[in-house]
Amino acid sequence: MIREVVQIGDPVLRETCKPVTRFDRELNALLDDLKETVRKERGAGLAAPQVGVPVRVAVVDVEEGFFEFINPVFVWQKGEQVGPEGCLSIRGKMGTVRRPEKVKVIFQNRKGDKYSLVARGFFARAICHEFDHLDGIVYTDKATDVRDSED
Amino acid sequence: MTNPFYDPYRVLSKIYGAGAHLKIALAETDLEEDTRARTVKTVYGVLERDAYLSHCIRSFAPKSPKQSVRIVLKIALYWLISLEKPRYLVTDKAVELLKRLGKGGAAGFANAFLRRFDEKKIVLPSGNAGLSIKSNYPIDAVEEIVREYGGRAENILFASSAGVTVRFERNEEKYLSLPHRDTPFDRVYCFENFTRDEGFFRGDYTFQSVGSVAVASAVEPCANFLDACAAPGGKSVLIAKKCERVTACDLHEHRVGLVESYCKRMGAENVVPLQSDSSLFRSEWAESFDGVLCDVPCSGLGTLTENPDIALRERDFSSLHRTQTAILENCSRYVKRGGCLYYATCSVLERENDRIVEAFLMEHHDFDAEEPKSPLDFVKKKYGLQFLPDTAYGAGFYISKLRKKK
Repeated sequence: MIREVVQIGDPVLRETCKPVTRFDRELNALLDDLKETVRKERGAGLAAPQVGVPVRVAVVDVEEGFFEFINPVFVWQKGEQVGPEGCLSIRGKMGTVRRPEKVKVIFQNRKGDKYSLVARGFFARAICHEFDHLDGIVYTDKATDVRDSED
Repeated sequence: MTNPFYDPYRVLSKIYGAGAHLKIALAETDLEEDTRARTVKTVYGVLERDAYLSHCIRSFAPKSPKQSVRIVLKIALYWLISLEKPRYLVTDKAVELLKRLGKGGAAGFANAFLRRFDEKKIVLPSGNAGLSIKSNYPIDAVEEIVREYGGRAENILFASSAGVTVRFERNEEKYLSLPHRDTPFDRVYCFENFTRDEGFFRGDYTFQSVGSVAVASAVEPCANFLDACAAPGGKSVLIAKKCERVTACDLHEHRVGLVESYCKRMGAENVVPLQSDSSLFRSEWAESFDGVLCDVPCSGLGTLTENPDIALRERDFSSLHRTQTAILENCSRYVKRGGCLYYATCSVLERENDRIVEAFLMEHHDFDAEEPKSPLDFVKKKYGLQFLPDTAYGAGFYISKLRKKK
């Protein structure tokens, strides 16, 4: 089911999200909906608070594949990249953000099993952007400039 | 659309009916590509819960249905219970498949069974018998594990698979963007999912369980090494990195072929594959190897997380005992003075591990047990290390290191 993406100004985007403790049908439904919604909106990722659910869940949809992250934590961050970002919750804007070039994260899958992965480049950027949402941070808090975007 | 139970049924009937090995049955059945992932998941799901699903059928069917009907019911129950699919869909697919298989006579029974089935009414026996049904470990294994590990037994019995374990020779970077777990071994990772690509044929990586890597890593570097039960060759290739020459034997000619192609793919040039019965003495090998590994045939009960079909197989422990002892006895004669004899299994049962070594040491006073080194979590036994599935990435392996006196 496609869910509505909440827009900046909604207090849910400023909450510190709660860890997932139950790996149940409700979580599966949330993950399925996040996937459907991010695909429909043609985004590179979507975090649960962006559909109004303040839990530590995010999906990322990039060249490397489609990924589900539950209770994610950074293990390390290396290097630096500077580039443009936009956000489905801040329509019509884009900005320039400094992010690590390479990150290693540890997270759980929908069954609750722990995994990690190493992401670089745009994949790393998407992860950082989505994980910030779980702590109530949006990219405009970090951007060096924010401007109107064409689309 | 084809019936989603059809492909799982074809694979499972080879395993239940003809006693085929899971991985071979999967490889040798031409599966619908689009639904392959779902088929594989269903086949593993059914086998991992075989004892429980059989118990469910026994509880709700007055007399045992025929094998083919039982398989269809197991698939249906797995979809109903574990995948939480709607009852009407599961019933419909089961009935349709039975008719298509020419078992229309059982369709009414299956229909009634699946409509009536209620998991809440399933009663499990208490104690070890219940644990055996729930964990899918045979009852004798459950008893031994409970006796030996007490409170930890349930963790061991219900340990889940660590996923797909891959050992890299090179180029691992590009795969590490896939969800994985690090292991205590260099370049060995357990992936949530991993699709074989051209890198496999280039020898960039190979599929090898953490237990197998652990056994190979416990071997100390030496000049002339014998791997007495080598096929398919994973340990030989790893050991060849720290030995000048590895002779890799297997009893069966076709399995020696597996070792040959494995070595070729991984570029191990100092491995010499050879057909030979390691329980029969070859006088030309007397006291001529610095190290000998006896990775003997065993029940395989330490690999249930990876090979759930093992639980279905009959185990003749007295015959295994004879083979294990014979190989260890015979191969001990090939070890040079001051050299090492290694005994390994993929079993969690003491009767295949410490007790075999103990009996051997009673007879052979020229060997002393040494503690092997391993970065992987283990339980120290009297004569060796026991790796257990809950902390060793699903692998229940054993290794003992015996040094021949100078």
